Amino acid sequence: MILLFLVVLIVLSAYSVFTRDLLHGVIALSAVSLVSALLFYILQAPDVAITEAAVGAGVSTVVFVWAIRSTERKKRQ
Amino acid sequence: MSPDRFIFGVVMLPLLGAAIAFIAKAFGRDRWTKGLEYLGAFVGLGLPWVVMVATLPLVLEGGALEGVVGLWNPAVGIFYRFDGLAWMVNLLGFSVAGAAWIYSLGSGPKGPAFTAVFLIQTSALAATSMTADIFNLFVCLEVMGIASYVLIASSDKPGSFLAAFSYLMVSGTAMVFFLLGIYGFYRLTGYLSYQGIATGLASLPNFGGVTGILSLALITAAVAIRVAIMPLYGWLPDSHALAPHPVSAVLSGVLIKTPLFALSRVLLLLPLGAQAGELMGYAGAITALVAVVIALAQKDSKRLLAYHTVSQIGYVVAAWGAAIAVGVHTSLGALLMAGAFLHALFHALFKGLLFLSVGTATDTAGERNVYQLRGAGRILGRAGERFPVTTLTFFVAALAITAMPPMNGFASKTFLTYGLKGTWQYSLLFAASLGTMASFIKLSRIFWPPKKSTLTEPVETNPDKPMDPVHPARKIAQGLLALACIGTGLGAPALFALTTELFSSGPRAAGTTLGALARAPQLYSVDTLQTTLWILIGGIMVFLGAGTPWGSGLLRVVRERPRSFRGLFVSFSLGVAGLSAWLLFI
Amino acid sequence: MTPRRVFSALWSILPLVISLVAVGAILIPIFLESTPWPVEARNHLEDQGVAESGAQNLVSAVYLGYRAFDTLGETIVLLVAVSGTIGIIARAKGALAKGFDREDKGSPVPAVALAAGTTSLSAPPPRLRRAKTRTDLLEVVTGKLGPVVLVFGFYVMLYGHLSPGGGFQGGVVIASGIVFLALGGKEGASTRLTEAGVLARLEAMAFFFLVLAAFLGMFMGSGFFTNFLAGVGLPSVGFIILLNIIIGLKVGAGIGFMGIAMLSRVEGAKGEEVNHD
Repeated sequence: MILLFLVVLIVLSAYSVFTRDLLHGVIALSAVSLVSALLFYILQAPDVAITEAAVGAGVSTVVFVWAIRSTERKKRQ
Repeated sequence: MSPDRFIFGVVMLPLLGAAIAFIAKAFGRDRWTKGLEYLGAFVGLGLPWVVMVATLPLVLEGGALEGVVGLWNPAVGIFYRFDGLAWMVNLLGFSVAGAAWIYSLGSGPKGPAFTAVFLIQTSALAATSMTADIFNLFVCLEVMGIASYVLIASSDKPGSFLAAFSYLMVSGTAMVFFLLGIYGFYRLTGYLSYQGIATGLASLPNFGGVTGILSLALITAAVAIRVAIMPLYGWLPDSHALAPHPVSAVLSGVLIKTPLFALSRVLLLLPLGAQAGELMGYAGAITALVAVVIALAQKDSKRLLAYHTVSQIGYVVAAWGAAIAVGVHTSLGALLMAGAFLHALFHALFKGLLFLSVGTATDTAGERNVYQLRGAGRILGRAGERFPVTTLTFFVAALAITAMPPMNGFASKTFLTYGLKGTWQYSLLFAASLGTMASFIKLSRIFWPPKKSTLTEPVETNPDKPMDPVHPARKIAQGLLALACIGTGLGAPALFALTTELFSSGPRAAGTTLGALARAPQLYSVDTLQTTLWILIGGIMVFLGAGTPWGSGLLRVVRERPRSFRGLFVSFSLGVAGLSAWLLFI
Repeated sequence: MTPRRVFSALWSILPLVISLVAVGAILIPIFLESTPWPVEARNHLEDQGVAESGAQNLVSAVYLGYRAFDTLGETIVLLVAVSGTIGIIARAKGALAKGFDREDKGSPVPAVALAAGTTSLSAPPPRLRRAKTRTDLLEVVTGKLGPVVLVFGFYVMLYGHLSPGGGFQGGVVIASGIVFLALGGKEGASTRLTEAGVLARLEAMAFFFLVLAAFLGMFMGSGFFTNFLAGVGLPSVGFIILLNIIIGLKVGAGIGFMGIAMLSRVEGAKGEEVNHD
């Protein structure tokens, strides 16, 4: 179970680094946070899990999306 | 009240001041805001001096305040240690920060939010100087970092956001590796305090083996990024050149040295710390020379100063590293350490003054290009500066940085190079002095009278244009720093004695006595004055050489060398790898 | 692909590869370390943690008791980050935040007024306009959910010494509650809690009390950051509850403030015009 989560983590982080679309990257990052929150919970660190879920998956994603929304999309060159 | 109760005043009073300033911002009614803000600044920058004075007798006796914050159990709590080293670093921080804050009243960004962040930065400096816990050091560096990113971004220069952002990214990345280094030590020993880690490592076979070495390398390299020595300096020039002037003064003067002296506590306690210090010292000597060559090539006056910061910190690190390598309990080590600290302190004063006075001159003239701006003194005169404070203070600082007697730079460079005499670092530092001299001749041209023939004088073309008068706060701050430069120059031998005295309680493990170890070298001997003369002549020749077509071509290549965002990260990983390899295979 | 192109592609990723190899070679030995885990701190916490700090939740005991000084530092990081973000948001509009004012006082753009946190005192708080980007669904759901989230945030904050959670976590949840209320607030139905000025004051006061709590130990306890409540005869867990409340309010107000500033900027920028994308 833990191993599966770890593999998912690596795949999602690599996706968020290499994707061309910032929004996709942010969503992948938020998924990374969610999976790591689950992982922390399984590893019996509920405090860290709550923080990770609230900050990583919640607030930081929202902040990133807002930041991206106030930029403009350029046509691909 | 015993000193160990109020010693945290140096950290908490600036924070209290910051809290007052934040309240002033949030509850802003026009009448009260200013008063509250100034009250906050007084609490944060004035009251800590009371604590400093109150602890001076204790520190002078060679005592140190040690303990756990909040008196919690030492197995988990945070250790601190306030000793001569911490006292000296606080002296450095509060004097430059105080002058810079006064200057900020007359320039650049101001207001309660600026004051609050500025005070938080000062508080982080004090906290860094006295922490003896490696995780707490991490937190202090983070607070210091975030305050400086915000302060850099508060400048209205174009590009300041980008400069703050690249600083944020690089040092954020470095701090992740710092954290991994902490993990390595905690994994091995189960302690976070320096002393706990040192004893824990000593009880392990082979001092913790590869993990111990690599953790040390990660921590050292992450701090080296903040100190900006050679492979890791790339973030500095942009951020220091684009920050508001008072912030530049604090960043260059204080902020990059505090982590260095905090690191010396770690390196002096841990096994292999001496070797890590040795390599950093070598890097520092190389930095001193390379950075000054780049500085000589710059057009922008503040960027030139920023590269000089890298170069001067190279001097400090060269002596500091050599001191750590031989051990500060030896007489040579004590001499080098005191020299390094004095140069750090004096550099804070004169570089702060340089940033402020050049800032005033370039702001008034509206031109920062060294090749364009001429006759800054006259422009300042037209802006209502009857007595040429800015011009005079600039020349005081320039004489100090080029190590002309009787300024403070002369004293500290003499002490510092005296201990290095006969090594290859000494030749590099000597060559760097020539470059410093040459580039300050170049920079001082902004105060030369304008040439009649040149057409490129944007300010001189309309002499009737009304100018903003130079704010008195700027003059006061510059005057204070200039007096400090001259005063510390004249009193340098006494200060040197005081520093060695204070360091005897300083970063070493307690127990060994310093005795009458480091005797101050003769300051005004035939030998030192001869060296100064050679530097003067050599510097003028380098300056003339740089003006020739061949020289300026070379400088253009240096100026337009490729620099990239990615390069910052590559150089960090190479720096870590190099340091690890050095520690593993030495 | 010609060999030349392949070569140049390889050359451009060479620094990346070298960095990854270097960093990997350094980190792997640290992760593979096989000495037995040290147990001293763990044993100490297990045996005496509850007795020394009074908190059932040992995580709270560590970060608000043993290492409260670190927590203060991290709180400051958040505080400075929020105030820096507000400054940048406000200046990105072409005007300057009031906290960082220079000559230009800035035009009263909604975003600036919000971000400054002070101008909204005199002027009525700018309502978040109903823009094309918002839907009924969003408004109904967030509006109904907001109070529930707020209550949960306060629960996490107040019970931090007993169950997982605490000031930081609770504060973030409170901040999401505040943002939910702001998103769901219909015209005229918003609470005072979504006004930037109120949040800015709340944050400043909470920070002030946090510093004060650390200071009081010097005079009423036995030193800096000691438990001053124990000094006046209250149960020692009171200190941790107090710090949890202060930190929770500070974090909640700070992040909520930032969220509302960003929200109004996004709404202000996107509200009038049709989406580009």
